[in-house]
Amino acid sequence: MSVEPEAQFTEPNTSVQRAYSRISQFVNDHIVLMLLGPALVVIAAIFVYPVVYLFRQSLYLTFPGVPVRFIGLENYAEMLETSAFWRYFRHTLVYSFGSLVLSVGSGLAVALALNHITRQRIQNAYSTVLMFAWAMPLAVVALIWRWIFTGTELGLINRILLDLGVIDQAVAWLASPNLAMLIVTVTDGWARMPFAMIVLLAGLQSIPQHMYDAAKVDGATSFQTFRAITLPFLRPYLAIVALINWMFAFRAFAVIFTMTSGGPGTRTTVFSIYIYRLGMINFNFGLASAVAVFIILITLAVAVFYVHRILGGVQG
Amino acid sequence: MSLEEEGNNRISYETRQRFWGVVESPHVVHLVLAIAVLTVVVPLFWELLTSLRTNDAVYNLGYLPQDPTLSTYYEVLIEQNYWKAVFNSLVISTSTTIAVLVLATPAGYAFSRFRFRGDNALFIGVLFSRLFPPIGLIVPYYQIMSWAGLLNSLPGIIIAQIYLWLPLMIYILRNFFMSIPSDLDESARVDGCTRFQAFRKIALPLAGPGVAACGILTFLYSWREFLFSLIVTSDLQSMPISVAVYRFVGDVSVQWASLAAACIVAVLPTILVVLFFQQYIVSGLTAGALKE
Repeated sequence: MSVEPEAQFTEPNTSVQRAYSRISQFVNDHIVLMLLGPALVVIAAIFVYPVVYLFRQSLYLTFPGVPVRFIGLENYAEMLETSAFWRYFRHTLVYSFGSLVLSVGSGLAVALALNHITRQRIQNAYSTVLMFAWAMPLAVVALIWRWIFTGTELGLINRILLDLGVIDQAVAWLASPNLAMLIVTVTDGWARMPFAMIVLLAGLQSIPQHMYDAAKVDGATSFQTFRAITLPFLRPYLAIVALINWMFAFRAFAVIFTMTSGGPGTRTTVFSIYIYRLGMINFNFGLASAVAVFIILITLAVAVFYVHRILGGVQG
Repeated sequence: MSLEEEGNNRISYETRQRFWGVVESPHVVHLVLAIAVLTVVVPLFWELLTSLRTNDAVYNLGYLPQDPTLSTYYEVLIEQNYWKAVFNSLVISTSTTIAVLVLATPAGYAFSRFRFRGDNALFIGVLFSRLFPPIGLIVPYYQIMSWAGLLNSLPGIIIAQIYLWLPLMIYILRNFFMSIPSDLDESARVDGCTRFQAFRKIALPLAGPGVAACGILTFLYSWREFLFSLIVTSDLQSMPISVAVYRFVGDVSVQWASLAAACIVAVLPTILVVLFFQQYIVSGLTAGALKE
């Protein structure tokens, strides 16, 4: 290695200084590696490796008491042949789309309402309280709602309805095959609403005021203004919020696990609960991995849209 | 516009104007927000009331506890050692936050400033690892942690949490660094700063609010986390409070008052964080959701 020109500038006179400038030289020559390397190594070790492990395992028969052996795509064949799989698929779709509609719909309503409040302090006070719903641990949120929807006369909803005389005897909300899915979906949507609210409010605040002023001068009704100005501006925000909320509801675990554990029967069993049951209770790691790969592929397909949007914004 | 007008002509312009005037009136606006706020406040308040009873007094059907007491808190936190779970949560969230910030800040800066071979591919990889469904990884994680002897240990949870939040924080920090003009780094370079100094002395201080937002978000996210902590731990020695609350749910019955006390303890820090750092959380969430 030739003498670095840098060395002449700094004129290192002690070995410590020389070592320091050598290190600093190395860091600056490989600046990207130095900044990015540690994070990428960590991601590779704790993310990429388990993913590879998962894909490999989905090709093996791993059942307790049976020697592990390679079975190719048989786990996938078994998965697709099970009628339960398709039933859980349907539950997952109902749950995730229900949560999406509720969270984005109510998030939009609340964001529009917040945007009408001109006093910043009041707006902040409202959104702070609403954000509690987002900040609380999902499992805790679900347990709080479980207590409220308790099926005996202890549950708050039952108490109020009994006292008002609406019902004669306590309704077993979460044990009811039809109501259980509705309740867990509403809870999930409720917990995801604040996120939609925050992003959509940011979108609303990015709309230039002069657009509204012009519409007012032209005598447009509020609804026309909403359709002609607000909605077009908000569309990219709505798209991203919808994508994110759907993706996260599609894989959601904590709410259903703590409220109903997938019951009554299997009426609220979604894919995440199915994977947990297969993997952590039945120890059928191979089949659990196959279902996991299925979820991953669906998520990736949706994620491509998302990344496309994001990168489109980066270049545009 | 004209088509729409024709479609609406059956109702007079004045009527429509008046109708939307009502919809947009302060009364309706505050009503919508009040309903939304009630769905948050009522459950929390009900949980608080329940936690002021004893487990037996829960079966007493008054709306208010007859003799409110903090004894359930004492029982849960001290006698049943749930303070350990709170402590575990603090250790897990703090360690995760520090590790994620140390790794994500330089990485986000690198993605925002430098062009290098494969930069787009790596960035897309980070985005995908952020969107990847963690539920898919519980089985391999359980096996790997069990092989590494990290089941029922705090490091086992912290490692999983770093995986969960690092990619998202790299992405958010990249967006924050993108909003700082790179001219500043370049003029610092002209003045004789090395590239690393330009990062450490120019960009990093300017990105302070962004780094703070990421720290607060990571802390909240790891405090809230349930799935991986559930997979990795099975006893109170290493269990965070977000999972420990579930221990009061038995196969046959639920200890509602103890559960309520534990839930309030688990919720309190998140509420305080939102109260004090709301603006940071909002800026972090929007930077994480939107494109720059």
